[in-house]
Amino acid sequence: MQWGASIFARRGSLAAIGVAALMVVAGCGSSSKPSSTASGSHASFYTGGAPGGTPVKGGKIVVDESETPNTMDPLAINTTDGGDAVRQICEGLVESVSNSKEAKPDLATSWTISPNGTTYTFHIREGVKFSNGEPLTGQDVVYSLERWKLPIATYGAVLNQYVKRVSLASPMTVVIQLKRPYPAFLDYLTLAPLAMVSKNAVQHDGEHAFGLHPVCTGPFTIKSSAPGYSSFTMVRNPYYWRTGQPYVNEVVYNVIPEANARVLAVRSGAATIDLGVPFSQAESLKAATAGARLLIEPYSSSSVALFNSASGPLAEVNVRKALNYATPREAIIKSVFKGLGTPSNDFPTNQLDYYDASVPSFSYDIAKAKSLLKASKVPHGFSTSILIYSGEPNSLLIASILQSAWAKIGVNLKIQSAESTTAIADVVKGDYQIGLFTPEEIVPESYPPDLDAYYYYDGAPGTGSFYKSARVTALVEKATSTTSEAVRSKAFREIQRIANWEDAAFLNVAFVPQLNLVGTSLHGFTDQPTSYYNLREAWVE
Amino acid sequence: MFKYIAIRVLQAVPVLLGITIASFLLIHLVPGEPARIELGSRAPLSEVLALRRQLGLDRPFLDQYWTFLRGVLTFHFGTSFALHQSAGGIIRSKIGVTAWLMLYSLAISMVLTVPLGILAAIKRDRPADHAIRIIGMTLFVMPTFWLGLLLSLIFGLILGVLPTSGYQQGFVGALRSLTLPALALSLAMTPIFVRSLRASVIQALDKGYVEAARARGFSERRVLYRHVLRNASISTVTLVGLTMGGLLSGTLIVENVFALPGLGSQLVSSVAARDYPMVQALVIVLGWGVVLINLVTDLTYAAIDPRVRL
Repeated sequence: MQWGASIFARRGSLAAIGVAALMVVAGCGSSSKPSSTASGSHASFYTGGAPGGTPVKGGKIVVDESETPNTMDPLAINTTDGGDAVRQICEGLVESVSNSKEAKPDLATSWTISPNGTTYTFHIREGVKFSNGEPLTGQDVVYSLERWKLPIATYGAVLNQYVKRVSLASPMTVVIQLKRPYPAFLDYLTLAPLAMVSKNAVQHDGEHAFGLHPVCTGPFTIKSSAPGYSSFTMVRNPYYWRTGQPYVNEVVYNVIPEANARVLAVRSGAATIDLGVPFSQAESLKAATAGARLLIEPYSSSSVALFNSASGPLAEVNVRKALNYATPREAIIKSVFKGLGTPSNDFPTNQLDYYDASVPSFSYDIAKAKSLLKASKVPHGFSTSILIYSGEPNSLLIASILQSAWAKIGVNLKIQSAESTTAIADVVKGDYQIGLFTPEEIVPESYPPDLDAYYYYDGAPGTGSFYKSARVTALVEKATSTTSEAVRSKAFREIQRIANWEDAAFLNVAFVPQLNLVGTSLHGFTDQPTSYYNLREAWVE
Repeated sequence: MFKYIAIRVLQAVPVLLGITIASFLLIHLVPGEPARIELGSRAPLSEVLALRRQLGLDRPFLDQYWTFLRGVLTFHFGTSFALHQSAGGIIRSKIGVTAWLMLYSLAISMVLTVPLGILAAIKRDRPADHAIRIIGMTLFVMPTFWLGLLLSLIFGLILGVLPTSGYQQGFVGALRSLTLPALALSLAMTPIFVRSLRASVIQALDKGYVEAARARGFSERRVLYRHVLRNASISTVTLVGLTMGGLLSGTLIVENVFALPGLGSQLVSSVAARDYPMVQALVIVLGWGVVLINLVTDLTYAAIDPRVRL
């Protein structure tokens, strides 16, 4: 599964994803956290590889990715594929494992949280060694956590708002004091940029060299990498603390920007894993494909457009609602996503904690759209533009469908395309009216919705979301700081309803799943909608 | 000849200067900036400004350009913003792939061009000639990336004889990795060369020296390859030189389709990352490449035709 650090950190987007989550999402419709859901069911977070069998040691896994990581230093990783790769090398205090949205022990064996939610005390696992043989100590943990203050830290700006102090209570006990309660804190510690690194290695090698060859505690370690990370090889970490794992000797990452070329690589046996198969290939790959299996997995993203509601007709809620009612979601799902999707009612996804399936989504109703427009300040329609990434066939198709659909209500939509970096720059500046993003561009970081609420619902700078509502801002503040699960749940559900339904802040088109192609020789590969895939338990025949 | 070469190199200097100015201006004027891209859109403005200062991007334009030019003159292309490594070092590690790809595709083109061009000429207006021209035109109009994927599907997946993508180390590995990309590039260029050679051979076959050679009892093979081809190839050689620029741009596409770690794929990712030093360094190196190719074309021209004096 792909995890995205930021809508704007991605470049060179893909056009993948599917829907298989429909059944699973339906079963996962409760807005409660997993542990409190009565049914106990959740999206079946993938299941990669052929089921069953006894793990076999040895062999190699080849992962074909779409983009190069910006670094292998976990602190500064800001790409989806890079985060997945780094998480095979570096581990955090806690991790998110398949079929559970809750943080589980990783390098920390246990932890306590003070009643007021501001003090976290972690007991560090004894006997863990880095890939260079040196032991993991509490000092490494403190050092790793304090690196968040560096400008290159991917989550530095957010986390520095919350983290007051990091200290050692004893050689293997670390205490993190927060400035105020932050219920999502533990879940954010599962993210790749917050992994633990060797203090000695960073100080000895320097930040730059460490980024080429990080020294961490994960199941694998970097053996070699081509300049610019166009390909890199990981080998088994001989000091890995989980006895018997990993199973494979080697993991090779190849960067292949062309989506169809990645499919061919898996089908020919040259690669084992391709994350992000184009929808256009879904039907042909669903049929029996020798040596490869298509996985349609619940994913954590959606096809969505941002409205620049700072000014102009889009500042008016009736206009935004009219556009939503005039959007033929089913037609888009059928043409673009080959029927593999469901109309969405939440930004950015239905996989987050507290998702409320009962919040309505906008049906396709031209009459309603026209009446809403008539009641607005632009009763006779208006002209606007939609910005898409150039070279993105799915985005162009969606924009074209919107163009012809909205023409029925008198909205003249001009399609503007720009190279991805330029488009992102324009959106951040607010130099756009409607911005359409393919699913990979809008991917939440983890299961708690706190970070996405901060960025997209609270209009934090740098996201291009100009949505601002005093009610929602107050709810975001309440939801992200309360220690009461009930209050949090209620607040987030209310945020979803107000922002997505009452204010129509976004053009939510569809929840779409991810299409992955894996070789049939692969077993034990696990992936998750809003977290990382796991290669330490994977094995090949 | 050496004087000629020296003059051509000197003539290339203003061309390369123009290229540096154009590439510097273009990459700086395109929206999006390296500091913001490096730190991500959510980084506070203060950190972005700090990185801009660190990268020297807050200095006046002319100052930045002069620093860059000074570096070029001493063969120091600066440090890549995105990769934090010497831009020259990255180019050195990747230039081999691109150079071999271009040479390989050129070799395939020549191997195909000569027999097909001659065959089309001697079988003028007959089925073989028509077939060569129709197939050639069909291949010519196919987009290179599509042709690449098609070759990958046939030879990589269906027949399984060559890798679908990627680059393998070692001579044999590299040869296997570059075969399909080189074929994709050459099949796009070869039809033009074939048509040019066909026309030149047809023209040459009507010349008096051909009749004289036949009258002296030379075999048709000798007449064609030792007399006709040498004269007919002059215009084709010139054409080959002129299309080198197109071949270079073709490598950008093919390297991305086949995931080859060459200069083309590096240029694409560097532009997306607004990695100014890397883009500027690549443009300089590629510009030098085109100048060199044109020089080699002229020298080849002179080698084929002794009447040409350099």
